[in-house]
Amino acid sequence: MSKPPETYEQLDEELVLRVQQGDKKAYDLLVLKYQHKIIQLVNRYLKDPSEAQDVAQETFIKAYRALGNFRGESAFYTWLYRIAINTAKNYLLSRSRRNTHYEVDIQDAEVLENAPQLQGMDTPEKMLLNQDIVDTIKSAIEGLPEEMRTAIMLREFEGLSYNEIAEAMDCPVGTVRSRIFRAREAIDSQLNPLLENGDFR
Amino acid sequence: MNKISNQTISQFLDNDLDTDDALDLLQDMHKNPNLAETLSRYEAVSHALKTQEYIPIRPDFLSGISAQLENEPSYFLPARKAKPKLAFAYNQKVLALAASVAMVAVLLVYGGKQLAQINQPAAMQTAKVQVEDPYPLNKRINAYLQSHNNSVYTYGETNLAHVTYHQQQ
Repeated sequence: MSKPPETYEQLDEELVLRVQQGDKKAYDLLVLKYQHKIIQLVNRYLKDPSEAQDVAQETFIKAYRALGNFRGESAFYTWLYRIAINTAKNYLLSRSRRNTHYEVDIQDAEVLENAPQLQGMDTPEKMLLNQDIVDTIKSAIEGLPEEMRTAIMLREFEGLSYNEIAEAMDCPVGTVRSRIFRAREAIDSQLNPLLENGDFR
Repeated sequence: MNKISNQTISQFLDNDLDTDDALDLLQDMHKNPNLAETLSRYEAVSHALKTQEYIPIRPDFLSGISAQLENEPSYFLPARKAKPKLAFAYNQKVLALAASVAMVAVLLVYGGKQLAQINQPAAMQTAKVQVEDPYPLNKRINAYLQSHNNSVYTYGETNLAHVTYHQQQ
């Protein structure tokens, strides 16, 4: 998970300030901004996308309740990630207590993170659909024109910025923006039929 | 229009927007769930490329949180102290300039008075000295001595200096 740049930290500061002054809608914007990152983070602990979303929702609600004490000593996203990790660990502990048929000696949630028998609650159907989606994305990338494929791979796999990609590909930054966007649109259009049929929406 | 918005979403995902544009986009997404869904799909694809796991977000994810927060109290914290900005720096400059002007004015007025004092006629200065005579008692003693034996009682470090009676004779 890459660190948001300074400009987005300013955006967070602005939104947090608005929430602290009574603007609840500003909190919706923070949720929109971080929802996927928090779900991904929580899912690393839970290994269950559906439960990860429940825990992510709980994380955002806890964060709202604690926002009155947030004074910006750390960046908002690190503060939020910390709440998400603690919430996920607590959830794992409570899940282990519920699942009494698993006779594992659990000292704390740290042990649970590496306990595969308590994780991976996906059904075979969902796992199959997930594999289909991943294969479709890969084949969509392979079918892209050379320039678009290079641009999206440098961005997604190497994590280069637009400026760095422009330098590497010897083209203007605007061209990089356009190539990456068109690559995403191409992948999206190939993925859409699968998502519509696969109850992923 | 939709294409432009989707490209903006792509840029947002890659941290390529400035603060104002990012805020505008988030506000647009809040009004238009289709834009939020596009961001969600782009993010899910990006994640799947790295982890081989596609995690879509439930459509009611945000509304579920909003519904739960509806009953929560709103914060009404006092505004935090704003960081020094351009306007503040400008005010500081104006204040510094005003202070300098005031100081120059005070110096001019004070200096003018001093100059006027220096240029006053000697008689006036003497008169002033007489007014501020720090030793009024000495003066009275001198007057008394002179009227009786022509001795002079002087000021200064030595308490008494006699101008002798016989010298005057």
